[in-house]
Amino acid sequence: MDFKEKLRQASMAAEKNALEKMPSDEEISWTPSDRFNERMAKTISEIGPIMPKRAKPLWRIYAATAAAVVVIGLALSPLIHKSSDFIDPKEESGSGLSEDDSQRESEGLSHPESDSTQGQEGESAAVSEDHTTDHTTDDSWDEGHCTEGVQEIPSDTSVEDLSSASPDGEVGS
Amino acid sequence: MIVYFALIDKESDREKFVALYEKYKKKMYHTAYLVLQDSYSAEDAVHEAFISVARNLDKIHSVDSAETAAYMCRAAKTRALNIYNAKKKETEQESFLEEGRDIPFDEPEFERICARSEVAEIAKCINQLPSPYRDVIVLRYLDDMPPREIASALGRKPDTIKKQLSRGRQMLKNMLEGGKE
Repeated sequence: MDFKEKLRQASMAAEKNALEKMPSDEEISWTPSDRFNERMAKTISEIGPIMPKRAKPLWRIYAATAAAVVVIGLALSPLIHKSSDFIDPKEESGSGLSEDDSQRESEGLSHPESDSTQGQEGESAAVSEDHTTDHTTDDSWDEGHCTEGVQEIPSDTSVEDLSSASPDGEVGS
Repeated sequence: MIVYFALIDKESDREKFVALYEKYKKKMYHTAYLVLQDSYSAEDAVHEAFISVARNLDKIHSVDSAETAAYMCRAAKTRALNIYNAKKKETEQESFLEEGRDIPFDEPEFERICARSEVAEIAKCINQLPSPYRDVIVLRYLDDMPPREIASALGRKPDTIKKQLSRGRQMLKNMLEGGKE
């Protein structure tokens, strides 16, 4: 034991001895003044701000983080659900364009603005314009695609008949 | 959730603080009153001591231990001495010490004597030291406070504390050697 540790222990022992000589609480005649009581009540109510900030235990940090993630997740879930109901406009225009283009090709039509001298910006603008026009004016396109190859199923057809239907649309045997 | 965890902290801290207050307020008042001899100032010292305790609440592990009791009374005494020294800037004793009657002190010899003495024997000698020297010795070696911090806590000049430490150790050395200063 070095001299500092010995002095520390000796000081502690000296303090304990002094405490033993101190009168008991009953022997100390002191009634705290109102001023003192008020100040102490204020100190006790402000115990949080008075104390220095200290590091939280790790489990509290983990628990608080997990709780925050759950809360944020719950708050965002309706938005995520809503956004999944939308059809991605990019995807729609992309597939529409390709269908449209393939149809045009099959019909022997060339793309009106597919000149290689045109810039990228002008091309996309022209394509989207053309695409809009297709949907609003070409009624036969919709009708043709929707009704072609579809047979009407008689109302008296049973489920068994449907399950045994051949791929080319014939119902029943 | 984070606010809730903060409240748990605050609530348990408050309970601990109130327990300390209820248990030690009278002893702290008594300690402060012995220094200041004035009820009004002693209450001020006790209040300031409790604010200091609140700032160091983490260091207190058990409300009922003898170490805690000693710490609480020491906090009250330190604040009382601070108030006392603020009221009487220059006491006779301090003037005397600052005049430069510093005793040549052999530090290695002091360490050697302490190392070969019993703890109980040193404790007895510490309690026989005059109050200013006893206080600085206890704050220096029990609370491990450097002289500058002791000076700030007691409201004395750092030079005064250094001289009191030096003189206190010299007295302690003489007592342990069986001589008288």
